[in-house]
Amino acid sequence: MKHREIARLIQKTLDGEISPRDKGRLDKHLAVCPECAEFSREMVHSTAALRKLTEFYPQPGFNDRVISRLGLRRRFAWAKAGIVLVGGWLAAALFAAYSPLPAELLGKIATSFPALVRFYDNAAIVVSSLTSLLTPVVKNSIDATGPVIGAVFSVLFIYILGKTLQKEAKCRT
Amino acid sequence: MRKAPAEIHTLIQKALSGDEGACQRILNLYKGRIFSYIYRMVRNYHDAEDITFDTFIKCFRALATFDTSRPFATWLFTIAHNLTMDHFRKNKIEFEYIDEFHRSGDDLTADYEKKRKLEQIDLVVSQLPPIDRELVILFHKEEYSYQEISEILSIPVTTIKTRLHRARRKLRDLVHKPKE
Repeated sequence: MKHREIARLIQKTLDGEISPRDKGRLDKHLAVCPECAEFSREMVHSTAALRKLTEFYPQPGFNDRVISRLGLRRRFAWAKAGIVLVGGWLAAALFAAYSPLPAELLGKIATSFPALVRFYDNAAIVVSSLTSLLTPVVKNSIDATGPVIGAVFSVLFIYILGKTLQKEAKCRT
Repeated sequence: MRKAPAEIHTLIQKALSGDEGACQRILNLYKGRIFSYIYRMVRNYHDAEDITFDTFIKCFRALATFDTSRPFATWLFTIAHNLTMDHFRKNKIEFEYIDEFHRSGDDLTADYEKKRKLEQIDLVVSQLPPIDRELVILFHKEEYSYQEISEILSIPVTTIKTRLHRARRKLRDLVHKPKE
């Protein structure tokens, strides 16, 4: 058999496509031809080593960069921030409604900062006017200012939160 | 080809619904292989990292279009190959050996000699022309079949065979017949 033919069979072996008949012919030749046997060994050795080559890795933090570029973490942060804000809002509302502390605190502030009181009075007039425009039922009722402001801000907050979540859902799809 | 993890289709479904954990798992499963392949092609750590990054971004963004009847890794390698080729075209890269690749090993480790030999092989692979390098990596390192390589590179199987045979000979010459 010619060396060229042997080289072809060696390549076939490396391809994993050699037939049993050709394998027999090849082995027979390699047993008697040291030159081809050496060539075969070298071919097998140089390609077999490729399987054991080191695997390289990108720098630590690679996953985080991909995840944040995809916006997955941002979505998660928004959801988390939404929960915290709603919780905070409820806690503040309960605190303001049931604790005597805010009233005491406001009294102290009023005595310490008269300018602030004047500002509050002016603001109350503006809010009262707005309230009368927004809610005719409670117009001229200064007691309704707090709940109305709360309601307006709650609606505004829920609207913004809803829009944000809607945007994030769109982004996800 | 290496066997795909059994949970890959579940992971893909979860990743499609925006599950961060599933994306992390996919990244951990494939980033080493993809990065190694790209690194061996471009021979520059930072470029390899950028291309790997783009590969995964493209993969996750196009995940909805992935044909689940095909192997996921083949699809991922196709993206990596296309982006690597774009990088070559964009930068008009000259394919030469870059010394930064040859890092110093730990002389005291027991497997130093083995490691040194592997580094030598890696060095030799880096001296092959890019197309030959790509073929030997995909066939012998990644253990892809001719058909799969044909899908990844969009080259006919017969061409791949001819080129791979030539590449193996070159590799053997470089490993066993070093220049004086």
